[in-house]
Amino acid sequence: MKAKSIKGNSTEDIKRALEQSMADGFCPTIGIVFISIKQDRKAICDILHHEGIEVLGATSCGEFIDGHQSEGGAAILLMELNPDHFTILFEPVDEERLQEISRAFAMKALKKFKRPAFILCTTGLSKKAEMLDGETVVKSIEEIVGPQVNICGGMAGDDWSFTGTYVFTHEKETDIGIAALVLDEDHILVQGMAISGWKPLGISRTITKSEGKRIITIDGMPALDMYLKYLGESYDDGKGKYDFFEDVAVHYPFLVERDSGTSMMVTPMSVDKTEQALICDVVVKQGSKLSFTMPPDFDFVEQVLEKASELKNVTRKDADALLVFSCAGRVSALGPLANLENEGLAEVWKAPMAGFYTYGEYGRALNEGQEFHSTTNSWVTLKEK
Amino acid sequence: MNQQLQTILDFIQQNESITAEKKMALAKLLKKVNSDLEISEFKLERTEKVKRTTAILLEETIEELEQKRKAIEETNAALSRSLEELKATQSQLIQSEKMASLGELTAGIAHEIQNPLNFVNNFSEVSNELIDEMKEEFEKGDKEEAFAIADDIKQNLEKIHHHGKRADAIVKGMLQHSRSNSGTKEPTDINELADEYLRLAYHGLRAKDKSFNATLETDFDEGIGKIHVVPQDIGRVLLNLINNAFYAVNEKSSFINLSSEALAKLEASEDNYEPTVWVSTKKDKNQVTINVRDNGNGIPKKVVDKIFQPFFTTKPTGQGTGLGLSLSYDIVKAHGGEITVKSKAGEGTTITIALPA
Repeated sequence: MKAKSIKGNSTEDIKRALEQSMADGFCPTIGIVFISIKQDRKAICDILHHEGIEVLGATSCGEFIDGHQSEGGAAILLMELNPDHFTILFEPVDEERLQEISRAFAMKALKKFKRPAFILCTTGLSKKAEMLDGETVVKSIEEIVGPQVNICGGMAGDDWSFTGTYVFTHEKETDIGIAALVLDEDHILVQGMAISGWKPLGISRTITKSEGKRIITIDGMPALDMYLKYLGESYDDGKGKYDFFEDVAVHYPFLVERDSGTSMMVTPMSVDKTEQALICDVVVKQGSKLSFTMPPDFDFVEQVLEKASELKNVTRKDADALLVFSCAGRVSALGPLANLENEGLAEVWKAPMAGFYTYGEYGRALNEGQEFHSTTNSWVTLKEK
Repeated sequence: MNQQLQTILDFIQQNESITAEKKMALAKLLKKVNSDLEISEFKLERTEKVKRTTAILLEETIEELEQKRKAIEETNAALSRSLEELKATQSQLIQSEKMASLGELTAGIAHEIQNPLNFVNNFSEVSNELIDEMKEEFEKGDKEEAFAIADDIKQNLEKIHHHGKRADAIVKGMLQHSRSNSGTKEPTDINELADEYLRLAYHGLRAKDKSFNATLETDFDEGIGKIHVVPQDIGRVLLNLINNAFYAVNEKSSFINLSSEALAKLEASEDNYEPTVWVSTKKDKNQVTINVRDNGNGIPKKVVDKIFQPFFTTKPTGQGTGLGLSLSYDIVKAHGGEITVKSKAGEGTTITIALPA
């Protein structure tokens, strides 16, 4: 399968880049679009549609292709995939029926292919500031398709504006929903990995009181007090010396133990000063064990690339295309190293790459099950058999 | 781009003596330098930030761990105190158990002492009369008859001495039984010990409850000889087992604690129930076994595993300390022996002590 990645800071840029890419006879059937909310995504979808290219898209917190990273632009992975080997599914959801809708979504995929794999793009934060429960989406799909299912993807971003995130196709768009490029694994090889790199620090603690996504007390102490005390900070409303989310929370997420015994990263998104509570990106169960964390070491990029190379050497398979879903928090925590990581992956696989900075990632950590993540770099390679 | 690098880049671009190709190569190198510089600056900044945050986090964690350590130390101290108190209470309980079993023996001992005392009284009375008779014979000058009476008196005195010694042995045994510390091992006639405690226990119970009755059967292996044990300790074990056996047969004969099924079976039985306790001994290779068997109600399966646990008792509150079998177990183990139980519901129980010969 032939693939190319294009980028641009305007509709015209994209139009031009698309024309250039097709000048040699390249005839893409599918375009995966990662795009800033500042761009005219409808216009860009029309350009692709005009060329007979199907579209799956998600808004971003920064987007990149091999050799280029932008904020406020658009990045597109174009692939000449056999139309018989993929389909695009799109479903708006409401939180109360999320499990039911996710199961039906998986059923549709299973009806189309015996072994479906999912390049999953879901919304992150809705216009009403509701965060989609990614864990439920993954677990519902896994429940229907089976534990061997490959799901990789990301939650849409909104350039850190918290005004609403979107997933879309040419015809449809939603600020709360799920969309996926469903691939036939009998014909397309899908392999990838999700790696966080944040490490637990200090002693294990207990969430003594929580309600939904709100952590109210940790070890009996008000959660916000304890969090800031241990980070040596004081709360400042964002008007003073720092912004709670960007300057603190994104660097120091929690490591919370799941019921299954595995751990997940949980990021405090905002605070509730009246209750001194932390409002997180996912539902956190009362009684769960929690640890503070510290960001990855500087040699972490090498470790990510080493793992990717190992996988490449073990499977002895190269790639036609690479998609990277990297947590938006990695840009703050890893700075220029976040881009080095993405570039390095493209270099390892020597394949056209596109990706975006997300509000959450889907993927499988090394030797672990399919999960919804935070703080990870989740990448996936595609190769038509 | 870094300002200084930008100046260099501008200079290169404006310099006409450098070829376009070289300009491109130099620009590429400068961009790489700029990128490396950005990464270094970021690393430096983040190292400072992480260092500060990590130091505080560790400091707070260490302080918290220190507090937890102190709390654990205090808890440990409190636990140690409780353990000491528990040990002291346990010693008191063990002593109480000894005294309780001594109490159970009192009636039996009284009965046992009464017999030699009766002999002492009777023979001393008879001897007194014989001395009067002997005097009379001397006065009559019948020396031969007087010497014959003197021989009778001597025989009586020997009997008085024998029974006096018997009473002395019983009292000494009682004192040994109540001692706090275990005595030393000495060659002991196990048959004699078992027989003595069987009788003491039986008469003790009879003295408390006149209606109590049971058949006592013994089968002692006369070839055992003497074995090295602490007699008062093994005596305590035997007393305990025999008392339990009597308790079991008494329950059954009084129709106490019987299941409705067992009760119906017992009532329908044509044979009359005869409460019996068997005590037997046997020497087998390098060990001596003592069996205490009863035909009581037997021990329910769910209880069998617990009977040697301290404070476990099926007796009504106030009637058992729950330490008897536990202490017996410890004593037998301390002798290098084994204590085992076989029981069948409705048919009875056999407890076997195996001691090294």
